[in-house]
Amino acid sequence: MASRPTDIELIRGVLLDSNARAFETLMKRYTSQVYGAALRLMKDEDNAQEVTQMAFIQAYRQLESWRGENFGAWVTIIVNHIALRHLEKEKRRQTDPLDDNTDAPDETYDEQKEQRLQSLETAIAELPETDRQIIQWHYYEDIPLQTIALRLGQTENNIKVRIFRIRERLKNKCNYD
Amino acid sequence: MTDQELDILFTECAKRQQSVEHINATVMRSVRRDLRIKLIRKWAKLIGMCFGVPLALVVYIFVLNEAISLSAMQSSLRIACIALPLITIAVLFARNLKKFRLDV
Repeated sequence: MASRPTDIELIRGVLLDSNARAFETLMKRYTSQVYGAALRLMKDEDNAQEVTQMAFIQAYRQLESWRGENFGAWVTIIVNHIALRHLEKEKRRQTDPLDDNTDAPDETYDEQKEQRLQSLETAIAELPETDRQIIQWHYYEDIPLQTIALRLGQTENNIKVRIFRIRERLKNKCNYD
Repeated sequence: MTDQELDILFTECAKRQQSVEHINATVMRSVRRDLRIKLIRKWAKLIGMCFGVPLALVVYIFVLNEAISLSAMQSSLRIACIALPLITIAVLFARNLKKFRLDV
């Protein structure tokens, strides 16, 4: 089995070979983390999505200035800067009497929920490959148990038991965190 | 954590995954557009180097030759006057060509 490429290998691929796939892989590793950071500041999903996109595009364009630190942390710093700038602009706009601000962010952000989500995502990421795949199919893609069983060459009951065990493992992990 | 709480979290996670996928798709569209622009610039540079530089050189040598002919210069000096800038340009051209890559 091919080993998972490191961040440095992927960044080298982007810089030297203009490899878009390498950047995609790199981004997939950290989008959730960066989006979480954006959401923490913006407290609004649409704005958080927008600043996360801006941060990754900026990171791509300034990749040559990356100095070898953790890539996720580097993009998180970028997203924080962009989000703070965005918030300042928003604040100025709100204090401007001539500007009728109609699209104020809806404050639906819940820190505790965010922490639980992050810990569940981390716990899922730490699962073995097949277990992770089962979670993906069953909970995210709504694929019936029968189909999952067929795909994995197991019985439906086996899959049910496996899901039960995965759930217990995730619950324990999230409680522990 | 209860089963119900875990189910709610799974639903939230699925929603989050959709947002993340949307972000990834948007960013990748922008990255690919950047790469396309980079590729077009590279091709334009290559065409400029292949046709523009020789054209400029031909014009330059023609004008220089005409000027030297008028001034009745020695033939060895005339060759040196033409060869020196030619060699300099050839070296710069070779250096640029060495760095040039088309794979985007």
